[in-house]
Amino acid sequence: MKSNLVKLQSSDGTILEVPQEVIEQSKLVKSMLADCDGSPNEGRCNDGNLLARRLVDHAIVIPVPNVNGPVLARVIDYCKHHLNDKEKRGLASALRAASSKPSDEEEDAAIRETIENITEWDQEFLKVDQGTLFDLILAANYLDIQPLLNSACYMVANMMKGKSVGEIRKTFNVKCDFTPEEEAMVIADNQWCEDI
Amino acid sequence: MQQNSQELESFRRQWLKEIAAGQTVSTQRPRRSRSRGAGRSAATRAPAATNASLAAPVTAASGEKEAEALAPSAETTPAPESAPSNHERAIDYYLAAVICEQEGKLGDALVNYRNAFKHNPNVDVAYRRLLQERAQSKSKNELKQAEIGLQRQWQANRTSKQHQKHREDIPMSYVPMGLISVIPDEKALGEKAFPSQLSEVDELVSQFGELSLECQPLVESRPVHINRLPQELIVHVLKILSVIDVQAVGRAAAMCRRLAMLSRDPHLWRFANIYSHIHPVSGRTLDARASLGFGSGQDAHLMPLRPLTMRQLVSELPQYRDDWRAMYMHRPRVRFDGVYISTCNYVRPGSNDNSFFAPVYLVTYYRYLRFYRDGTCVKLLTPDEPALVVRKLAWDCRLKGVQRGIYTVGMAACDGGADASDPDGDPLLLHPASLARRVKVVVRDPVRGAIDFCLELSIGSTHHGKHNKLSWINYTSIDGDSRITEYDLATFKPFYFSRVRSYTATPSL
Repeated sequence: MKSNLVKLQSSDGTILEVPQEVIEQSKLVKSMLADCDGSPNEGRCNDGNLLARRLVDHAIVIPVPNVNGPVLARVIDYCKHHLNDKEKRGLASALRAASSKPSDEEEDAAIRETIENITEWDQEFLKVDQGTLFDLILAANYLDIQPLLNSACYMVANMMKGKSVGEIRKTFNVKCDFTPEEEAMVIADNQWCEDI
Repeated sequence: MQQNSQELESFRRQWLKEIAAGQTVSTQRPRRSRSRGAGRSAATRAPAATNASLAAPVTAASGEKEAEALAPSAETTPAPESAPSNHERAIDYYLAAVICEQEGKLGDALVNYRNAFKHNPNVDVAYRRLLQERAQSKSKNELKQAEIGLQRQWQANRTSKQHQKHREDIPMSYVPMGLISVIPDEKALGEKAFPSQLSEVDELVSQFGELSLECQPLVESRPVHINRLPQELIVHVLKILSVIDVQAVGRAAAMCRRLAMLSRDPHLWRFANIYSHIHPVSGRTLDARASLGFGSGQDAHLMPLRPLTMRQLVSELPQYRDDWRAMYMHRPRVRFDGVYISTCNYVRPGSNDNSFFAPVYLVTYYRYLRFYRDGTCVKLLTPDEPALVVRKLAWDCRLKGVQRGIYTVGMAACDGGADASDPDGDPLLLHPASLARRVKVVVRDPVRGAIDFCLELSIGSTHHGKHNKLSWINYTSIDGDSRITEYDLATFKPFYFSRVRSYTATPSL
């Protein structure tokens, strides 16, 4: 069971094979696999061996239509590196569970956890051109890999940190589309941010 | 349309009545009553206009006729025998112009605007005031209508501006309800803590929401990657940015319309509030608490304040117009992206036998206080200047004399502890709102062993900004034998906040 391979098909048709436990960091893939496992069409849905055989035989190809091959490969690299994170963070999450957070706080807590735990490896991994970084964000969002999504968003936020409006515009290649009056209003409205 | 002009007619009749009624009163009065009438007309007209625009796709052909029909009617209606004041006529023309604009009849709209401004050069301001009066005095439902009206108005504005680009010869004063005239309003509003009505920027931004916004490229040949991110992912990025550099959120808002809109997303500011106000417990917090002897029956003196819960935070939201962003701006909080510094000077007489003059030494020393999100903090008392200290100051730093401990920001001390520890405190500080800004710090002196210091501070603001000052309320120490010493605060200076970039450079908190 451990080394089951899952096939992923990217938008450009590339098929990538990934160990199941690696790609299960994607909640989307995980739930898809769980669905396959328990699919009523299969009849013997509770038979774990059936799933194993089907996966080994590559009978199942999971299409990832929103992500192209190179990006999907990078995502898999990320997942491979973070395969054993759960044990490392076991203590932290146990603590959090003890502090009994309301369920609607979970997403925010996840963001915080990522910001607090982003590693040098992650930062190196995400030192890519802007296009690729945004590809990774979209892929992580689609595949529902929260740690990658948060780390990649952190890198984008880092691009804005400490920069002036002009520099931010330059960074993202965005033109000012305000009228002068609107711009003055928006700046006035956000002045408090600078004042603190 | 038929309906519209009938409505217009009926309002005019109403005005006449009001004028007749008001003529006996002083000159100031009738103008006011008329304003009200006009205000009513503005607000009731707004939904009508909405209906019209909703119906527009169905009756596209008739829409044009409607607008044409309206424009002349507005021009001709000021009946000679009734002789309404210039003010009313101006408002009349103005309304007609607004409706024309909404119908896309910009030519007619311009004619009407021109007439409106001829009758009253400040008609835009007057119209605006009417809507504001209306919004303030009426019920929520009607407020919504007024709001819709305003939004329509903004839209109208935009169209006319676009139009103006094509016709450069139109003088600026004809721009109907220019944003220029709005900016002073905005400043006036800003002086009130929480304006009870929607601010101009809210309207402006809500109008951005209606447009399908896309960032325009600065350099045409290069792609704009940020356009590929859906709204919720940009908000996600801004959430993270609010942690590492909240000032940058304000600057990002000024980048373009899309970001201006998204930077006001309630989810973003809800996150920022929780981040600032709710302090999750970490392993370090537990260690620090244990080493200070918390949890066992300790002295009421060292009792932490009751930490804020999510439920309390949410329950306070109505005080801030149900606006998380306003709450983030105004609710007192301690900051993690820098250090609080209290600078003290004292003069020490020096001895110099060779001189006629008695020399004195001016001694400066500093108290540094850095807070962490998990409820821990470090305090340092040293003569070393900030430039030498702040970058090194951290929980695990090796600076000599660093005191580590915990802090709480809260409402009231547990079990009435506040009364015990603060018998002669300023009564103002016992006010609930003031208690929310109270910070209690307990640190242990590593050199003197079992001596704990307890600081009670109050978060305040300076003209430089909000929540950047900690004033002393109380300062005591307690030694191993539970002897309590209270210090005289006369020579103590408040802490002032300074941002330290390196504190957020590495994401570890």
